[in-house]
Amino acid sequence: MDRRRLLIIPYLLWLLGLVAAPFALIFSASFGQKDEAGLIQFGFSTDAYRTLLDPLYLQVFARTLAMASIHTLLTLTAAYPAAFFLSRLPRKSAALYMTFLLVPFWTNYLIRLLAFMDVLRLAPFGFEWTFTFHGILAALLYNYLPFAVLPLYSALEKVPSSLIEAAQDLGASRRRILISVLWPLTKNAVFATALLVFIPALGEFLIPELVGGGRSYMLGTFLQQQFLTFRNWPLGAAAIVFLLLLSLLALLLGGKALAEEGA
Amino acid sequence: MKILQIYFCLLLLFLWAPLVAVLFKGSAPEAFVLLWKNSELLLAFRNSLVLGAITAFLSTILGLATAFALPSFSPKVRAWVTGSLLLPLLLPEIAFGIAYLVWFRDLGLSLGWETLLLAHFAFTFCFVVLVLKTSVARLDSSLADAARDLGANGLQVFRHALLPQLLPGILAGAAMAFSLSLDDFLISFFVKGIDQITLPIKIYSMMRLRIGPEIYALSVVLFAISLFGVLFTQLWHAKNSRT
Repeated sequence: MDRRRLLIIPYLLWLLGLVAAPFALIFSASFGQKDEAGLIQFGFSTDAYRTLLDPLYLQVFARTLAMASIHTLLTLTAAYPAAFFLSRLPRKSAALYMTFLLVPFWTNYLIRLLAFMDVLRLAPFGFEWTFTFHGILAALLYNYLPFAVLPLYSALEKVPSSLIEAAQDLGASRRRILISVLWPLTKNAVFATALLVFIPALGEFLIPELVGGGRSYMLGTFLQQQFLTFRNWPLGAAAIVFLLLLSLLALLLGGKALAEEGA
Repeated sequence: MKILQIYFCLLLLFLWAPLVAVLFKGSAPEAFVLLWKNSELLLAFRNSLVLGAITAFLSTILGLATAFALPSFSPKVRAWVTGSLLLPLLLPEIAFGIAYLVWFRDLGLSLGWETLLLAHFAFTFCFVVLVLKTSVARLDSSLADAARDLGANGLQVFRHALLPQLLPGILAGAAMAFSLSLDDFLISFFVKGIDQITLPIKIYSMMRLRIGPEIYALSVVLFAISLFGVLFTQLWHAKNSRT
């Protein structure tokens, strides 16, 4: 055997010890029961899942799903024209504009959030946006926008300008160009980008917690409370299994698009 | 096109305005004096720098080993490995943080710097392998063969024929691991003990309780560091591509 293959051992340890085992444990913990010390008594009980089906908890899931979906739509809508603008520029100026887009992201995530909350607190739109649902959406848009522009740009860049000009010469309106030329060529990238902004938003903790001020009770806050405050680990573990299933479902639906984009 | 340009500039304004406001507030000398006096905040900053450095070191060494092993496997195995390395990027971060909390407790580890380091290693390792994978794939093997023909042993081949070619990738991977570790809040939040205060954790608790001007001064410092880092890499790249 090739001795070089032994060098794969760190990866195997990572895969087993830091991916497979922790998630297997979460899965089995979700079928356990809470014991007196706030830890888990392993077993086979579906109590945690049955508790999750309570309308109170289903509401948390529904609210989180709604937040992540609206955010995905908003962010994609805001990012697409920006990416299109960049894609029609010469390479050099596109790179310059792109740098301007990314510089605010060189600083720490929490400081970025702090900066944005300062703006929300100033109430630039005439009313208080902190502790509201739209405040959360604005903060999500602020934090994910450049990450959505990048993959969309690399897909749009591949659309030759001559194709758009040809459509224009044939009398196509802007809307028609978007629907019949750009969309078919970039829809995979749009789906892939949607996944990249949707899945992290499902588990978002800081933005709902700090911008929403706990008034918009989302999955992230729920999980944090189950694991660090109330110490109901089986219930929290069941919610994580649910969250992972949702993420995997999204990946399955959009996975083909993602794989094609990655290739 | 004109409309799109105006739109793009408005987006830039949206992204820049909050940051400029913070940098402006942080540039006041009083803010720096307060930062200098806030030993807790400075300690958290130092903790994060040390944790980031050790994480980057560990991830880069083990990531390099993995990247070296990959070409000796079949394309199918390689595709599976790459797919699994993408998991931490695709799945919600909070799931990893909590899974580590439960797993480390189950192993009987007490939460502290060791568990923080393990968790930081876990999410930086995959990035480093993905970066180094391409560097290794681009290696010019004729150099290594030539060195071997000239009688170099394995270590010498690595040191003189391979390492110089890999250096840009290694530095990029290490820098990435360092900045990811420095930036991480959510996973650290779950796997830290009571006494382990990293910079993001400290900023979070300040945001919940009281935000002082010193945090803005710190923002200026952090921004200057990343500005310097990016400029440095750009210049280094420019210099390397010329020669």
